[in-house]
Amino acid sequence: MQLTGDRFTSETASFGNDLSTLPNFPAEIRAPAGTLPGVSSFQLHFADHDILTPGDAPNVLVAMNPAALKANIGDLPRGAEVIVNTDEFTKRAMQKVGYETSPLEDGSLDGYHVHPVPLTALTVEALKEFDLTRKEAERSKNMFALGLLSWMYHRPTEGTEKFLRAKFAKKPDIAEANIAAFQAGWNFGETTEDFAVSYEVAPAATAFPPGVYRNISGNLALSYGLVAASRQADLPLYLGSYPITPASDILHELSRHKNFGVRTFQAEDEIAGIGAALGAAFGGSLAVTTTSGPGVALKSETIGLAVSLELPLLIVDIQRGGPSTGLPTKTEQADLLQAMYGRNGEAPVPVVAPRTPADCFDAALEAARIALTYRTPVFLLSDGYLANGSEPWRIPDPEELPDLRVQFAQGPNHTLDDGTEVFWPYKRDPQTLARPGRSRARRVWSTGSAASRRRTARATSPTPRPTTTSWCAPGRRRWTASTSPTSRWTTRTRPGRWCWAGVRRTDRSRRRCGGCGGPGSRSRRLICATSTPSRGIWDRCWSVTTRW
Amino acid sequence: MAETSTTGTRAIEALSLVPKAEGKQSMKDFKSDQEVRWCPGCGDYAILAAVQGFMPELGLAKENIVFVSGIGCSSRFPYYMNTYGMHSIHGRAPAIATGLASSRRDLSVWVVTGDGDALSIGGNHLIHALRRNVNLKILLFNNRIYGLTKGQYSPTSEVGKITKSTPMGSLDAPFNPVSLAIGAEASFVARTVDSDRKHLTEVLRQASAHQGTALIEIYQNCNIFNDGAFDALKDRQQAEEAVIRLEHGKPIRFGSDLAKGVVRDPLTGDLKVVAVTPENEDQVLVHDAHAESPTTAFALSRLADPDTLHRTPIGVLRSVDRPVYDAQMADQLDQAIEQGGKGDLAALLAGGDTWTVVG
Repeated sequence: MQLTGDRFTSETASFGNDLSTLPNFPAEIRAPAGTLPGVSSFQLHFADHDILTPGDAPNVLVAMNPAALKANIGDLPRGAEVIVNTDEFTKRAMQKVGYETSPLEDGSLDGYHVHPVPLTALTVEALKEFDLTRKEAERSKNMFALGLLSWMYHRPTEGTEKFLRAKFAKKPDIAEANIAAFQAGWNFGETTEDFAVSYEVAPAATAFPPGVYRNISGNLALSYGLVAASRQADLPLYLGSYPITPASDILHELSRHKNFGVRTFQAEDEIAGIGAALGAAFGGSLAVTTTSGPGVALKSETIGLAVSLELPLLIVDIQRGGPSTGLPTKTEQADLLQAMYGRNGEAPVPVVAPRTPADCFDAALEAARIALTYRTPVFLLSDGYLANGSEPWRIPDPEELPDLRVQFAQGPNHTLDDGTEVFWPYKRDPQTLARPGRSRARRVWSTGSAASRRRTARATSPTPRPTTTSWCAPGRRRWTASTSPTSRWTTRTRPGRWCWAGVRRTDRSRRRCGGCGGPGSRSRRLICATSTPSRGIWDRCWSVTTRW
Repeated sequence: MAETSTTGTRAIEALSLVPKAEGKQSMKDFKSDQEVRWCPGCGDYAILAAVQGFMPELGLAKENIVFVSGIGCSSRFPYYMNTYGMHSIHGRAPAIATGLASSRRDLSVWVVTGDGDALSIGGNHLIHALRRNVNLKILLFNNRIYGLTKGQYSPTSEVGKITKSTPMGSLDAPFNPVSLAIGAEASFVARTVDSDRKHLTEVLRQASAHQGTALIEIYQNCNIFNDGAFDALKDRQQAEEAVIRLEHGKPIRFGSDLAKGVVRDPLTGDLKVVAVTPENEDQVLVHDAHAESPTTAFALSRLADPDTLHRTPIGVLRSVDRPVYDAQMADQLDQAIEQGGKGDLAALLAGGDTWTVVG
């Protein structure tokens, strides 16, 4: 079902609509079919104008079985269209989810436009000329449904056909069978009289500035942002991570890009994941750890150490609900307080939160910029919806990305009264308050002693200061923060203009949250197969803004 | 000695990527300006002096040496070394050092830890560092007590230990760190004693020549909370009977006039100690630290009595070559560039399906 959703999304994106998606799937690896907890869905919201969320109340539901209908019918407004696969509405399947009588016959769906379609039978019939077993043929019913929807919404079809041929390149029979099912679905829409109307949603011409676009999910955008930050900083990227849903995609994605000099380390636990990242930061890498809420709880102490050591470190938290016994595949913005306060004593950490899936790219660069400029750990708070949801993204030219380069200290930075040149590791840059670096050591550069002195300094200092850092990496590579990397990116990347969390103040965030378009809009929310309601999670703008 | 010359060559290989010092170094170069603040009489002083005395032998640029420690008395170590260092958090030093060593092959990375830090709170990181074989040298100071928290029993304390937290005696069976390390697939495992500087230095020498993770258990006396814990191994008379000095390629014999030897019991396959006679002399086991199978090294580690420490083997129990994690990680990066070309950000961002919006 996720594949069907992805294909519709791709066609919709290349057609030029704005869109927002919400894949939703159970935590089970192979969930029991036909049960309410086993329902997997893909929700898509697309429009001829700029939209911000996958929406709460879909206009169309394609229910492949009674469980999918039961799980999602409550979200639909009256008058919504419901396409049901009648072949799956057997007595047993309905009893499994608690339908005493058939909802297709007992009048409970009277307020909706119900289209009963024997999707399975039609698909098998369409594929009878192929040398497939009935079971194999039935698998193509999703493609039949995709064809039907593509007809309803006048989606282009070439991309999907090309995609199927590429996906099943080694099994051309399967590819052709899927294409036949897809075309059969389209033709069914064209010929049946059940569908009185079809819809045209024009390209969202005004929503997009000129440029080359692609569709991108939050976790992919975030991964690319990290690779881009590494290139812009001219520092090797090091990821220390322990697998956790919904953050593992980033570990997977970055592991594929070793040719960018990316080192990925799958650690024995969450603590070792951030520990290794901190060690790499100490050595001069752009260090990252990726996790979710349960992992953050375990990483807290190391984050505190990173604050003390004044080392740049990105803690990417793809939030979900609960502790590890929680809701691995369901989202919740559960970690704001943990991110802001979850350390010992006074250990402030900047928190950057992306707004939309595509914004994860910018947010990753921004988090890296803050970490490198101020030599501090930085939280990057994404969440399950942002991670798996997708939207069109204007592909940036690498040349327009901010310059994040840092300098290594090359010599003494202070002259004593007697004329001796020394290195003072705590002589701060007055602009960024970051520590400097130097060359030839005459004294110990134990960051251990740095940590303890810093703690003492903090305990006696009445004024809280932003955490800043010098990055004196071992082995003749030393860092100086004498100049903060100047951003020639956009105004919002200037220090002091980012928010603690929530929506960064940009032109977009002034728009009304909700993004559903309101009455009279030609925006259509489409829910494929099933869905749970979106809670408008990334519309909820935290109002906490802080300036340094 | 043939072994020494091999060690010399291997040292050059193991540290080949670490820049050399300009000019000759002395012990003084490795002393920091920090006042050493362990309890007077602590075994840590002897270990610090031995390490500072050994470092010039490596001839590495000081800026490329890093000591990472956890928490505990031993973990004050980095303050006193005039190198880079990090006094990190409890138990996590092996994890932090793994990140550093795997991203910077031009560094010589050392971990200083204790029996509580490495085997209790940080047990997970220790075993995984050992199995990965990252290029780290781990110095585990074992005093069989919690010193910094003022005297509770530790995971290496003997059963029945009376401490503040165990007034009726401790119940936990102790770890044998050497057995644990061998079980965790360690490629280099050694044991030495704080007061035997010559032996300690030789073990450090062999460890630094080793490619991969080296675990050195150093018996260290805590004269405040567990004084005399290793007297059996230090007292000249007792030590003869209690210590089994292992040397690669030599028969495993000990006791006065080397009257005792370790032989394999033909019935069980296990090791046992016998009085050496002209008849059984040729059955005495010859120590092979480089044996691929860890079985004999493990059996040797089990000879010691956990309570009295009698028949404690010291020296290098196991030293084998096996792929080194950081080298392989770097190789994969090179391989990826060879196969896919150097990363092109513009191409990566563009991906496959794109469309153009014209203004």
